[in-house]
Amino acid sequence: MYPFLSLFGLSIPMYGLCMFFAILIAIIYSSLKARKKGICFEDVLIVAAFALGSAILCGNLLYIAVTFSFSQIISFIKSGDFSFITSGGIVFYGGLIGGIGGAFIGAKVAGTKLAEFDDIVVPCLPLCHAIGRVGCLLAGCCYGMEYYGPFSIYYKNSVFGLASNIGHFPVQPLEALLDIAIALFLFHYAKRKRPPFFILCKYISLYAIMRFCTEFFRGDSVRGIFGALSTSQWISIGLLATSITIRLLIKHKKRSNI
Amino acid sequence: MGIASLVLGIVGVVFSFIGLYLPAAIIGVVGIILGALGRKRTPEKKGMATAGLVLSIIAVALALITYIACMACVSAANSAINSLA
Repeated sequence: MYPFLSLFGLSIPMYGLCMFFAILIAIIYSSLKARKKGICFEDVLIVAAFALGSAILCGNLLYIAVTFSFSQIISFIKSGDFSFITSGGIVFYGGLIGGIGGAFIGAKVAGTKLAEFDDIVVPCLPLCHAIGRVGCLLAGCCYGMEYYGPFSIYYKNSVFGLASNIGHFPVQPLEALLDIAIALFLFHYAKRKRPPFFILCKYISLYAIMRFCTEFFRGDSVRGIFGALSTSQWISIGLLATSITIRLLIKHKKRSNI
Repeated sequence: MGIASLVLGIVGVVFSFIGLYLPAAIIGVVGIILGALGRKRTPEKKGMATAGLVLSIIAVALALITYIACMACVSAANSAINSLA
């Protein structure tokens, strides 16, 4: 695959480049949409910066939590080796939960209601994630299980030591396509009249179901496994239950107000 | 807030260039928040806040491109380094 892009003698990591363009597209789309709704550009930036900052921190924290044991972390700190923090690992679910929390704080600081950003920001999230998955495909990470059927992927010159004669299930393109399908559905759904945070709940529910299923086709063994399921599958179950509960609570509140 | 944003933006860009990506990302994010708040609350000093905002965005962009890698990339790279050691 193509983990690095050589430009003017520099090696630029493709995953980081894809994530950068994904965030750039999301901020441009959100700013244009916010202007239509009468929300100022500065408010969008404040909410986006809080969400991005906390997404990076929480994504990194979850990465550390699932990668290293508590005793390992203590021994790293005692020896003064902080490379486990600066190594740059990000787990998507940690980023998603942190990003939502950060956006709540950002909206408070900006003096706006986060519910106003529901239809502006949320449909961009699966689109960003789809671009991120293309980055995974180019970097050759988050690969699928061994598979030799149609569309199987052979990683030549893999930096992760994958044998070039072993076929892998195309899990990254599959996730990217499913993310695009979720984004298209949410863009369509955002045009309808609905209670606040319903788009966010819909996104979390759909993504959790999608991720739970695609995890079975993953082949990278570095993800945490608890019992029969992976860490992401356990988080998927938790998030699906939470989003359904929030939707029911909002519906119940709306009915009791009538 | 505009001055603080400008200072953080400059520090963030310098940190990005010398390879301190995580501090650069955090400083850049704080710079963006202060820059945006500065533009909103003190429109008469918009210029400095805008400069801080732009520099902070550049710092975050540079840090994002070079720092962020997904979990599998980092773990695989770590194991490769360990096997060489």
